[in-house]
Amino acid sequence: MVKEKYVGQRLARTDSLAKATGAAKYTGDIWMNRRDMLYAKALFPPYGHARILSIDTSEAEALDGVVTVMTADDLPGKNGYGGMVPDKPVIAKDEVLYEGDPVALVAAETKEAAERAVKLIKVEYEPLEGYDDPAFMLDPSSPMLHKDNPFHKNHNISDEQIIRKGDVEKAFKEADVIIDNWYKTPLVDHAYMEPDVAIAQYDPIQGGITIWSPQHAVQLAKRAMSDAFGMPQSRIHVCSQLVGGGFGGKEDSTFDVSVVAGVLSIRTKRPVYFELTRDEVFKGTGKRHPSLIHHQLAADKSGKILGIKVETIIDKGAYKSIDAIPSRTTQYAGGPYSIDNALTHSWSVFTDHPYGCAFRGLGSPQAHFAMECQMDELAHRLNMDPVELRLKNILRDGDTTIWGQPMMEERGLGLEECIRRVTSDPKFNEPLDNSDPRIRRGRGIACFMYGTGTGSATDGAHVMVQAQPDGSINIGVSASELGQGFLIAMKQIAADTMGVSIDKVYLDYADSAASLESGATVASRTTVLTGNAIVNGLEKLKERFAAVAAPMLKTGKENVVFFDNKVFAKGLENEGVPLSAVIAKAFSSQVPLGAIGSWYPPMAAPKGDGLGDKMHTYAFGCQGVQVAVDIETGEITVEDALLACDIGKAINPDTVEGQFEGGMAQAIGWALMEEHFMSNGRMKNHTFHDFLIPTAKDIPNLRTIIVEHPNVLGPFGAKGVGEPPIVPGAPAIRNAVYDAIGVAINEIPMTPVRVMEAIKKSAEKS
Amino acid sequence: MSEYYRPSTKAEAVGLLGKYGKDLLVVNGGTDAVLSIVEGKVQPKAIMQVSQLPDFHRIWRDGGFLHIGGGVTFRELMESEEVAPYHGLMEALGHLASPAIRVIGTAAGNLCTAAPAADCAAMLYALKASVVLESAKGERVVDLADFYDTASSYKTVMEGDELLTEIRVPVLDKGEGTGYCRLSRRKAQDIAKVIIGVRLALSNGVISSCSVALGALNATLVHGTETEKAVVGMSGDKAIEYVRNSWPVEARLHKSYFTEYKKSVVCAAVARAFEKALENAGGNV
Repeated sequence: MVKEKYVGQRLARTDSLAKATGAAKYTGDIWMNRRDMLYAKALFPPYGHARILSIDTSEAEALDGVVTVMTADDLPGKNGYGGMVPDKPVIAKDEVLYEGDPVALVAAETKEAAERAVKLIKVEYEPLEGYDDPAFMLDPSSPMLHKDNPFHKNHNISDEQIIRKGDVEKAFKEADVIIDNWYKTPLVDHAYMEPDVAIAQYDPIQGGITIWSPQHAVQLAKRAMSDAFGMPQSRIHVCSQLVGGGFGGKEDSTFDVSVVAGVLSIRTKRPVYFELTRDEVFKGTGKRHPSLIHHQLAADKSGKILGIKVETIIDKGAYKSIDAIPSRTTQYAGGPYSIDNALTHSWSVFTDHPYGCAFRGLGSPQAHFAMECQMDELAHRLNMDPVELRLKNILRDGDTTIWGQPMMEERGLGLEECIRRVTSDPKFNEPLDNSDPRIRRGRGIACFMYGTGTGSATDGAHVMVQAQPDGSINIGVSASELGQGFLIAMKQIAADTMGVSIDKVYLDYADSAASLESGATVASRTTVLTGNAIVNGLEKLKERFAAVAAPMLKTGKENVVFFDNKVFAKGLENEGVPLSAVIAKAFSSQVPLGAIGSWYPPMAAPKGDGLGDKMHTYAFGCQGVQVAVDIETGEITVEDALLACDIGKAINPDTVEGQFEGGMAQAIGWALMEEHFMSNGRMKNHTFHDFLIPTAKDIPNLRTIIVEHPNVLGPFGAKGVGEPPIVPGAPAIRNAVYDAIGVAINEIPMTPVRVMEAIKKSAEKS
Repeated sequence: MSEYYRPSTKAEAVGLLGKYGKDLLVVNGGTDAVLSIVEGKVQPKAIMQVSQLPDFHRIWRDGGFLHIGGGVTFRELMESEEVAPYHGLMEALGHLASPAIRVIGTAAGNLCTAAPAADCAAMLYALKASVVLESAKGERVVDLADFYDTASSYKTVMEGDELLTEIRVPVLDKGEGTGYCRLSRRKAQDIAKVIIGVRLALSNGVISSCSVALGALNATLVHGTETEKAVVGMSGDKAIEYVRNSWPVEARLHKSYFTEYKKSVVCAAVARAFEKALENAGGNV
């Protein structure tokens, strides 16, 4: 029996005060306070695609203070690393495939010497055509970017995924209405505050290496870099400092900086500090994958969706990185709806762009943008209420998804409640002020679903739990604190599970030497998977301690209750003994105080044709927005945004609402202003001056509704919450704009430029 | 390494300019200059701070002019009762950069940087302001209309030994109003893509004089001379209808990603600046 004392409470994050006062230390702070480190710089090419003809490092090497200059010929191991496959070169050898490929590395005694030295390296390039268009590169007759593409027989495809369900051709033949549109989404930087940074320190005792850097995945980092370091994975020790914003990007880009600092440290046997400038972050690190989506939707005249055919071309950029986007875009191409017939097909295609990596939502925002725009197009065509249309089609208990997974209320299925609570909100139903003919107001909604965890066979979590004889608890967990509030959520789960006060729980986190593999801090998975592993570990300890306590309490071990730092027999709350006394007794009775907690979700079960269960549970949600569109200037103002999201159980409602608000704000940026322009493989806008993200003035008061349909397999009923809130914003805004001005804009961001262009085109048509 | 000077008198400052000429970088608020130094775009022999000079933070009215000292910050302008009646200028200042920048950035610096999309400069241009330039040889007063080197952005007619010590804005007469409109990609901290500043006078229900500044549409700020002439004698409604349908011919857009956008919105922006100017001109009658 577990009593919920902390779970569900609004407790302050343990990191917020230290972050607000500056007491919290990030990786860059370590460099500020240590004087034994070398400073590293990388030389990046002034081309998006070029052959390297020659490199002359002699002048750089001769410069005072320079300790080493490395080219691809000087590496300690293989010239490749990566989270999924080691396909990204540590240092480019013959060719650069994008602006972020380092050509040479420098380590110097001072920052100034390192900066001067990279400028003294002379490289002769033969510029090659930079490939910007993934649709062009998808064509088998297009030029080959990677010499030998190990990933696909078509030379520029990184990954290809297909889902086939039912009889799509028949569905389209029988349909009363077919909605056929193209959608386009942009290349976008994560815009985290802390630039990518790493410290590497060679270990002369065992021939290993320690890396300090902001990481999403300290255990994955060992696997990602061991080939490049020429070391067994076991010798690589990775500590993630506090992460100054990641949003998925630092799952990968941190390897870019860690591997550079690492090879320099191995070569010099000195600690090495490497930090990217903002310009280098923009040009070199991973991005949200741009997508081009051809979406066809067949329905009968009552609004029932009969089938979908969706083709999605994804700009992979130069390297594979995290390449789950074809999988996710095929999965979510039909949104959270019950659709019997589907053919969804996605390709990720190599170009000379920054590599596409994980970014909050991982393909789901792109897929839902198209689908939720299509839903409003269908409602418009059938002259139906978009809310009613959605309610007619949403997944309900017993329905199967387009990938053939049955949906179960016991795993949390609160979409209908989300829709009803948003659309019945009084403010969302107030009359719109359309008195000024130049300012048109409208409202729109969008729905979505989002799986918890990666849905892959390796997706599990393992933690170390250890009781101390004073009654406190250590938990060794490899997850990272990215600002999402994982520390406080884990403490709440652990304190209630163990029946101790929350100050007794201490997390040894984000250090590969103090934890086991608990998976990357990605995929909205940590609360559920790591939380369940902690519960599992603590239950093991409780079982042991119950056996120790039973004779002390003169009861059977099945009657032993843990609560409030005490252990007592059921019903005899006032007569128990302190937990510390039981642990001390266990300590002196050959009962181990430590255990490993593990949890795996039910195994994903692929059945061919892309069918089969994927994630074990899904968050659902609905967002409503109100916009004002200035039809003379193209300016869109989001005046109201309301998100209801079913996340199973809010372990900490404050941090859950923080995730809701953060996702909604980020979605406004994606919908209205964020985009990188690429030409010939080169980024045209690589400053915050030109790459705009929303300011406080661009964000309305963000309103949130927590909906809780518990997941029977989650800790205290929880489902994942990190990524879901970003998914519905863009299509909700687009649908609101459509409502306001009657013009469909199918490409984001909906900048004033695009809005005016769309209004003009629409006027020309009519 | 550069020499650093912090003179305490204008004479001293002007003397240093005479000595170094263009090799001396004048730093006022520093919001543009320091960035250029950090990025290595300029490597001056010497740097001279001027914001501490006497009268540099004064704002006063005298002889038909509002005088703005050479070191007056945007924030000081926004808080000045003397500036408050210039509605268009107040609005321009409210949209300029961020509160942090407005605390140290200066009106004089905004003029001297000579960016084509400078909010404060564009409105001062519309207000028909002039600047006082001092050197060891003496002082001269230059109308803003003649201040910019029209061949290229970021250049003025200032000589290397001159210091901008004061901005003079003709005081608002009864019946005069000012209006400002800027269009940008987001609601704050974004360089405008279109800036329109208007100063006009209403007399007996018709426009008797008018000045229009066009910003971000050419290499430098320019006057919408044709519009200025055309609207004189028109009623407010008529003028708005006119500007809404008449492309300001002085706006010669160069080819960029924003060309088509600018073409589609400039007339509306001019109309909005006129509407505001007419509104507060009415208030002054």
